[in-house]
Amino acid sequence: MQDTLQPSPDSNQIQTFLVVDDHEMVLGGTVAALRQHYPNAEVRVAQTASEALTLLNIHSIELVIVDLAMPQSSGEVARTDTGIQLLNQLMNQYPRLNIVVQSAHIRALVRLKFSISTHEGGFTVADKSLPMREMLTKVDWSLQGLIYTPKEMRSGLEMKPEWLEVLNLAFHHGLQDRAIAERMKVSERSVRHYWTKIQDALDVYPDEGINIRIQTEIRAREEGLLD
Amino acid sequence: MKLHHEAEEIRNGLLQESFAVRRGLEVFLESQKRCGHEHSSSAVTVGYDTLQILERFHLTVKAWSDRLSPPYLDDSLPHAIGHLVEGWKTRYPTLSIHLSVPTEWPIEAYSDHRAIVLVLDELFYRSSTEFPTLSAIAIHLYHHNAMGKLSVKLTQSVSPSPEQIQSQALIHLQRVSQGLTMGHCSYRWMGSEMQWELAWNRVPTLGQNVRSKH
Repeated sequence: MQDTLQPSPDSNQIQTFLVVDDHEMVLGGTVAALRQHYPNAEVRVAQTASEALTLLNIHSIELVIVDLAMPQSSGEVARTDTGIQLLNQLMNQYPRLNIVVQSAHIRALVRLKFSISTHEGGFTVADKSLPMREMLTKVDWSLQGLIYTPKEMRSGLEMKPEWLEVLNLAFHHGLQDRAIAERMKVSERSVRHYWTKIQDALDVYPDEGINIRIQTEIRAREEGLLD
Repeated sequence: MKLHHEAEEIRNGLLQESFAVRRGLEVFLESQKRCGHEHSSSAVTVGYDTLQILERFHLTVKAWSDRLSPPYLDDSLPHAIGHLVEGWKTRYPTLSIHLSVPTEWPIEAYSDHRAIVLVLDELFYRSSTEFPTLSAIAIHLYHHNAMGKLSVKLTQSVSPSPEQIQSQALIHLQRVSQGLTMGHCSYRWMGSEMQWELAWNRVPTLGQNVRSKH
């Protein structure tokens, strides 16, 4: 990873982000970090689940950064259940929305394992103990459509049949994504998404100097997924 | 439950404020770096030192909240037990510990999960002190109809002594386990192995594991 934080390479494109957190100071710090790293981004804020859904209905938003403990509406008590339900609703209504969960309660995400595994947009997790640099890396990854879930949340190595098929077609048959998509009768986008799920399951993430597909193959062989 | 509420207050209060202070300082230091002031200002140097202290403070408070209310008790019994076992493995790296848990488990009441994890942790603590030749532990969480079941096999390298077989601590733990879980607990020795079984009625709460609708 880079030693100094540079503005995102995509900072020339107008992007709209939504930050959802019921703590004003937390909102302020997160918004400041985002504006520094994405100087051209429009950053909107919401402090309740209801407000977040209203803003998503009105604006075209590329990325949501959401806490888990929050109130449903203004004046109500913040609860982790509310954040979990909001996330589930977001993934149902906006299946390609890029999401970053920034929370001190990230372990509650185990309740959403199934929804996360079928979500088609980026989905990354940033514990609030992470330094700013690492949080912004998770934002970058989510905008790229990648998946990142902390290893402790997973129950061992969980590989779906379609992911194993992708590994087989790519590394035993040498097929590229388009050919894999034709063979599996799915879209090329779906194949790219399978790759993000595979890489998350194998703890393979972008890093300077790393060829991510080769690293994926190495890890798959280490786990005995490829002969 | 009181400890759990205290942990939640820490997570929703002190940890949030700690995050906000840290993030504000990080944004300030980054802006100084971009202006080329990184090495020219003693205030920036103090800022980085302060940031390190704040990061340690945040992690310490987070660990404190985890001690008050162990992770995953609200969300997943398999994960809660898994987290507990990882702690054992770290403290006893030469001990062979095997864990078998299902990937899906309905969310039960926090108090039920806490009782089971508490019993398991106490069983491990008692075993590690009363059985110095303990060599392996195998934990199996499973369900049968409406019953949740926890099976623990403890293996020693030598046969147990009469004192170990009649251990008052284990007898007491057996009674406490039944009281806390309102279930049934038993154990028996087979040679150098002790088989510990706990069974309870599962009462799923409304906070079920959430599934996507599409």
